[in-house]
Amino acid sequence: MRVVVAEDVMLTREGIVHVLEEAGIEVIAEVTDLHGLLRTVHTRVPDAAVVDIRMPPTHTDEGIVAARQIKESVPGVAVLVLSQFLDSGYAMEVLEGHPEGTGYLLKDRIFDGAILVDALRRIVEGETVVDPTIVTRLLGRRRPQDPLESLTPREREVLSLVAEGLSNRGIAERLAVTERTVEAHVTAVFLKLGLDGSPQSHRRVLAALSYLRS
Amino acid sequence: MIVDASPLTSVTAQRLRLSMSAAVALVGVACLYWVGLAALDSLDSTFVAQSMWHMAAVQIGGGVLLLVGLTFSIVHPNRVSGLVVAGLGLTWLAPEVAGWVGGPQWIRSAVPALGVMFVPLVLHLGLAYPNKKTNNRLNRRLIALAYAVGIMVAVAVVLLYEPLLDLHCWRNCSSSPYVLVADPGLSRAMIRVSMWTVVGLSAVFIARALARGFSKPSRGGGGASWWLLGPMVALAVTNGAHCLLMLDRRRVDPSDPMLAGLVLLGGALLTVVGLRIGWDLVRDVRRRHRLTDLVSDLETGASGPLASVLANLLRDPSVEVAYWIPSLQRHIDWRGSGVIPSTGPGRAIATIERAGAELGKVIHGSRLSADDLEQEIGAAARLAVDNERLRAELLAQANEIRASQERIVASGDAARRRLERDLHDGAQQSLLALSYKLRIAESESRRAKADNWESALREATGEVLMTIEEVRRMAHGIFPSILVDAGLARALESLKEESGVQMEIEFPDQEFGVATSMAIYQLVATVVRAPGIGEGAQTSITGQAADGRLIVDVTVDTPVAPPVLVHAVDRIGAVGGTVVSTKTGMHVELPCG
Repeated sequence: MRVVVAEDVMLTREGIVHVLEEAGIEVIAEVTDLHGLLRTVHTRVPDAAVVDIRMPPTHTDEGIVAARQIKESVPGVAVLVLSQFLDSGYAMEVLEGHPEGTGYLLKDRIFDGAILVDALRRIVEGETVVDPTIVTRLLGRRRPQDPLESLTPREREVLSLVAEGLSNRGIAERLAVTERTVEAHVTAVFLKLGLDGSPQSHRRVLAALSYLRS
Repeated sequence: MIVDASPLTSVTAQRLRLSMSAAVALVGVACLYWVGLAALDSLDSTFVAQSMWHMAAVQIGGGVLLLVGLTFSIVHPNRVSGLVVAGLGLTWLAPEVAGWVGGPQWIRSAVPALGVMFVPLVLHLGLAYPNKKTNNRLNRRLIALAYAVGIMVAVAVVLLYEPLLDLHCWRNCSSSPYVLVADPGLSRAMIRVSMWTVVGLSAVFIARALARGFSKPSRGGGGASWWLLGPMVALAVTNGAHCLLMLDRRRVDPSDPMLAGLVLLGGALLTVVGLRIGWDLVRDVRRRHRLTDLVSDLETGASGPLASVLANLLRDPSVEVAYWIPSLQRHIDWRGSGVIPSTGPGRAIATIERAGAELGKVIHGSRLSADDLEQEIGAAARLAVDNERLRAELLAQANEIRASQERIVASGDAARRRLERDLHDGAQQSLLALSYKLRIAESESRRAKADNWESALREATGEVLMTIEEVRRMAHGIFPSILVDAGLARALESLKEESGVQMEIEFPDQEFGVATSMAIYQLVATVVRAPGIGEGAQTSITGQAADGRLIVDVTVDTPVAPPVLVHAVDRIGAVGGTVVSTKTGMHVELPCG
């Protein structure tokens, strides 16, 4: 797997590169700003780009902009946005346009075991990645006449993994059940919550997230 | 320049009006008589008899002047110009009356005296009109002198000229009842004296009229127009030439083409003068009507800003009024916003002054000169200028205060934003790098089977991660960067996410500008964090953007104590918005970029 790393803080960048190379992933370029990133992606077309949400020149939303532009101009390149923000609004901004092959991960745990590498593998395969911390936080919110209470513990678990962006196969592996079981759970959850959209589509992660945010 | 007129006391004004009305009535009767005579006269050998053109020139010239003069006196009872104009018409027709063969001798014999008065009247009208008072002291003295000389010569002519003894007498050769000393030489001399008087006064007038026409418009009054001065100078030239010709020819001969031509020219010029003054009169009447409308508008409060009133008055929609505010050292418009009066193509600036100090400027697109503009808008401006200027000044000061509030808030926000960024990009990133190093150390120690080290390092990693979490919370509290990165709607959703308060959000997903977004965010944040509003509280936020304004309604199921909201409300005030408490919450309106 060929990856570009875009991060302006040297220590963090070195850490990320180190973690990736340890896992046998080839880092073909390291860049420190938005323009450098876009240029490299266009000229060298990597499998994935690991992008800091804040970069020069303005240190505001370069990561979000980069994710959108890469997905629009070179859709085959997977984009993983690393962020310090817990707000699900940021995750929505990043994923909204093109959820497939896009990820939003908190920086806190990227050095933790295989989290970063796993996330990269998943987006390169076309899945979506939403940081579990964000999903847990959303699931934990109180709601009036909470429809989530009508879900079984297993269905809640499935919903949480759907919101994290896992495919049915990913969920099946995680829960050690068959894909058909997962499929049945997902259909039940979508039915119980009255969620729009097909449980099979790429966009189900957005439907699940929007539901949890509302 | 618009200068306050000193008001006449009502008693003086009344007396003046009465005496003027009497004078007007008298002149009117005389005029009717005159015109009647001139029309009925058996005019076989006068100038009028020369051709239809001569007839028209003499009768129309005099008639127009009489008509305009009388109307002028009725429209402007306290201005003398009307009488002067009527007098001109009267004296112009005088020679025709002298030729009225069947007329009473006492009138026919007095007529030559009237003819002498023609030039003083020309002098008066030409040097004073359209002002009520002549501004130039020399001109004022010349007018008085001309009248004095005219009257003296007229009296002398009446008392010493005996037509019966004049070999060259014209049309009226009967003995005058007024003559004191009848002597042929003296009679002839009187004719010569009166002719030279006319020539002399005409020359004086021409000189002064040209000086007036070419001088800059004077303060406090309208300037002379060449449309009037030109014909009057030509008239004086014609009149002077006529008298010189008479001195040369010695007798009046209507069939003399030069004399007849001069009469024709004189009549035409008088007609122009009369029409010109008549035009002014029509304009005055129309303006007076518009001013009456304006006054009633001002009374009913339907007039709008002075600029639109003036636009109406001048029929020029581009009029702008800029008030000079000495304390701010700049011009402001009626809304209190700063403006820089500037002329463009076809635009002119007139300064409104009082006692030499500038009140403001009127920028307009009409071709009026500053003095004409003063004539047109003086009264309207006087009615409204002070009131509106005061209001504009207050508005400007309020704007100033609001702008400074806005700057204070904006600079505070900028500082908080910088701090938030420093925390994320500095402290948090360093902690992240530290966590990375700790993990490497942790795996090294695992490889070296140093168990005690491994657990200590894992613990340290956990603490660093908690500190990162802490820094994240602090940074978010300092400035909600999602507001700038993802917009107000997303920021409100994130507020709902972190607070656990039930919040129905209906908000357009668009840019409102940082200051406006921040003000709304702070208000909602204050509400959801207020004491007594915990998890499970019900709120709703509805936003609508229209015409550059954002209207937000906030409803809360638990009332929020007003003191808690003071800062949030101040912030909204600082961006020019308002907060109104409603039964169920708050109604907020504020401008958005």
